[in-house]
Amino acid sequence: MAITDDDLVRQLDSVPLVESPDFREAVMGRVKRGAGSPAGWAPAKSRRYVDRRLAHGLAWAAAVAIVVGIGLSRSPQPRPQNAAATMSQPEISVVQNGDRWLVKANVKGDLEWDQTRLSKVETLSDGTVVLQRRSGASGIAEIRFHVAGGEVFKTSLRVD
Amino acid sequence: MSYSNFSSSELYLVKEEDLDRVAVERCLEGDSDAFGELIVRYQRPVFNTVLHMVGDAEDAREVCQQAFMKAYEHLASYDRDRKFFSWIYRVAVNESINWLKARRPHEELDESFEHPRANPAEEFEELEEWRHLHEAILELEPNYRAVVILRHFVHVSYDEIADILKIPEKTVKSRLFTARSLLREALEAKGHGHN
Repeated sequence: MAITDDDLVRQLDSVPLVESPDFREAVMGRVKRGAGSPAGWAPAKSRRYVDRRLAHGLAWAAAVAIVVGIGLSRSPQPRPQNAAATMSQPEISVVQNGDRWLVKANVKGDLEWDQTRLSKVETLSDGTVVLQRRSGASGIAEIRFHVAGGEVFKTSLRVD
Repeated sequence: MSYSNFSSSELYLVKEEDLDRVAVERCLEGDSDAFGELIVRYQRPVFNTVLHMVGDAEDAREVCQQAFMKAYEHLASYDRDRKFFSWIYRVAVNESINWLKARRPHEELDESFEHPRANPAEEFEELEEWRHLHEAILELEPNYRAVVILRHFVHVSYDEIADILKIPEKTVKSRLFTARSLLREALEAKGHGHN
């Protein structure tokens, strides 16, 4: 009786991934009970801050990546809620992660944002711009994207 | 406004690595809930890796939880130029190996198959069809076991396995070659080959 390497590889590759228990609750429970903290941990935040962060975490549980705005310019009214739409090239995606938004376009252009509510954290190596809600900011923050001087994208983000 | 060109593939232009990076940064800034996002994203492949490393679902649950805790506590030491998933896999594999070393010598690795615990996790029942394969994998040395699991069960590339295990890529390939030879011998000895 012999088994070839190809046969073995086929067998190995066919083993399914089993469902995992949900570790988040158990691990985060231990974290919140003070069982550990990452080195380099920032100073403790206020209760309100923590509550807001908790709300963001729960929101994240519903969807790992929520696209909050894909659209094209010249819509007559900014959309006052998380929304997704696109008409044609260029494509711009806005993905929310907690109180940060990752904005990426597939074309070169200029990004404008409501600087009273959002601040830029950094530009990633692939051109994704990371915006963060300013401390205490609330309401609607508009972002716009221009290509060759013309506005090609505009959307509104609810930042509170 | 038209939705005619809308497609789901267009929505996810932002790479998962970028989401990981932002979540890590938020966590290091004090937003511990951001770590929960990382757990949710990686718990399935990490659990499967640990499950096949330690050979028992209940033990895997414990080792996995410990691995995530360790990752959280050492998050500041994570090199953000590397992929987060490579790092979390590394933590999980190391935790599994440490657990195997710490286990009492007289315990057999495949004991759980022969003598299920009082509350055996259901997950392993899904793998019953592959029981002979799993038993053979558990007979491998942990270093060989890890490359087989990462390559074939969670489908990690050679260079990523090299990054996870901190060994050269050629070592990954040679270990995998040896591991599969040992597996073939074990399976043939148990009568699972072809006539």
